[in-house]
Amino acid sequence: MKAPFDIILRAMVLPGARPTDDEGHQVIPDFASSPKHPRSRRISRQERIRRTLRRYLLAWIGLGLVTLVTLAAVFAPWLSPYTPDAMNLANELAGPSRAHLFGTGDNGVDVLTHVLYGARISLLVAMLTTLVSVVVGVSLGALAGYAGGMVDGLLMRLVDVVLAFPGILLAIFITAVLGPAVEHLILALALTGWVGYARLARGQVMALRDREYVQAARALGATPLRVVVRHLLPNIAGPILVSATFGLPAVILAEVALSFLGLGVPPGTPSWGALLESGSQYLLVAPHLAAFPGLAVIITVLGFNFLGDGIRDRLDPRGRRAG
Amino acid sequence: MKAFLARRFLAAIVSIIGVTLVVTLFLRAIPGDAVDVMLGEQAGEVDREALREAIGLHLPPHMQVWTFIRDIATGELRTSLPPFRARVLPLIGEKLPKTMLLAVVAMLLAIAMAIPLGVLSARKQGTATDHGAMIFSLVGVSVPQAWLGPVLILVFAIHLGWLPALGGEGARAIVLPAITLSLGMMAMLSRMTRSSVLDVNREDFVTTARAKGLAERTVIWRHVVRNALVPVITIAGLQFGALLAGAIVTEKIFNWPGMGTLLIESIQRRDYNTVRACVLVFTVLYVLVNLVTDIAYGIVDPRIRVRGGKR
Repeated sequence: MKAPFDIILRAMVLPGARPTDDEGHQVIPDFASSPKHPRSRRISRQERIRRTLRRYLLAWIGLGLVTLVTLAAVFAPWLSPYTPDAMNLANELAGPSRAHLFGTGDNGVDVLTHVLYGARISLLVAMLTTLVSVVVGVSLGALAGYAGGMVDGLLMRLVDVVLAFPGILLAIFITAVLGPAVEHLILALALTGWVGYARLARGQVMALRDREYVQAARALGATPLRVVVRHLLPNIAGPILVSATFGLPAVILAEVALSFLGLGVPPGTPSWGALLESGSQYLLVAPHLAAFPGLAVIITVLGFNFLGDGIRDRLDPRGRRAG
Repeated sequence: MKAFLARRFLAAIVSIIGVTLVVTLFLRAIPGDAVDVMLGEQAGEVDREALREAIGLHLPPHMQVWTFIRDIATGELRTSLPPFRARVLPLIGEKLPKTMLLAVVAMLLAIAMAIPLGVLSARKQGTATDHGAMIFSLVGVSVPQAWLGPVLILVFAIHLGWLPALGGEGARAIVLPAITLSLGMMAMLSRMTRSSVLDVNREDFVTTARAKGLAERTVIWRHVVRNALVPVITIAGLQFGALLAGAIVTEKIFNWPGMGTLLIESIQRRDYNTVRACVLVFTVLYVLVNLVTDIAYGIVDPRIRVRGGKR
């Protein structure tokens, strides 16, 4: 299981896509035979600035989208034109209009209001799940990487076993048995979510634990806990942040899938997945019911992915030297 | 090689045992009476007892696990719906091929689309084509199936009328579900193909191939792509399990009569035995596919098993 995972990591987290030459100029690797691009070429300062801007353009867009959605979630009660349970039976399943920008749903509820409140629930679930996964995963992974030996062996076997589970299926089983509730959803998703972070933290800690500054700290009598918390964790925070930025949208999608299957949030809770589920039942008469929550999910997930790409590029040491 | 195989088998077996324990014993771990959770508090005593017996809650834990394994192995496992007579395995035998068909078609579709896209993107690195392809792949992993499926139905089935919307027979019926299921994997694989091709393209043997005057086309397809595809195909194999799990959502959207639909219906009917049999079957498949992929990869690329063995 280790080898393919390394490949994923290499492709998704640390791509060697932007190598530099000895003086830190970007090198454009290209197919040597193409006459337009010589195998390597120095680029002017202007060109470099333009390129940097363009490279981070998507990241800025991502940050903008994420901020927008987060603000919408936080201020949902003030932004919403109606209350979530305000009904208007005379105006059921109507398309978008000036009074209802996203149209109305079953019983005439305002879809925009539901999408805004849905942002609260979907983001809350995603953030809490990611937080729990990161805390558990990084603690165990750092422990395994620092302690090595038996502890490491046992923990990594456990990781192997959990990785062999289809995570979403386990989540389906757990939420099906426990019943739909936000806490159950978080529990079910974090139960398999921590392993990725554990692997990453372990690898990073192992790579750093014999560096001079760590040895120096040890020689000065720092306890293992202090070495890990004060010296190692700050130095591995970058890759973990990148990983969490990619993990969070995955949790949003998992929530959508589970709620769509009727297993996520309790009935009546307007999470994005639940809205998609109820909307897809009116596909023929009122396609806007499924369209808007779906677009909200896409914008959010895309925003996080753009942002994650940008942070990763920034943290990749080879990329940084060029910038 | 032997140690490598042994470790893989061991992890697979432990995973399957782990899932078996989870699906059998999880109900006991819930605080309160599990039967209350499943039937609701107002259920009659007769129903409660019958359910307890059907799912083995009246037995001590080790016997409960053993009974479940024995019943699955002998095909004696019955649904935990009154009157507790229908067998579970024939049901699964009927639904499983449909899910496998959907997942296999989706995977082939994803590979067939992703590889050309990824190679194209790598060859035109830095151009608009490349950026376009990579933005497409970022969008592809961001679209939830639960949205894509309905949109495809609206456009291709209802407005254009080219393809059947729900159910239906024959090859046309599988097109929309397969596209829905494959988009995420397609997006991911095309990204991986791109970075893998770029990696291989920098290797010395590729320079050698160019230096000896081979045509660029030959270099790319014979030398670069063939080597670049090894990790890509491996990931595709490892992702097949995720595809099986994803099929649960696709099946619900398109009313596809497979394992996912069976699982969700059983959950709604509180047919606990069928639920756990489905979960177990999914897990076994997932673990087996991963195992086979891993071993195949170890055979193709000996570096893997050496590195794995040292760990």
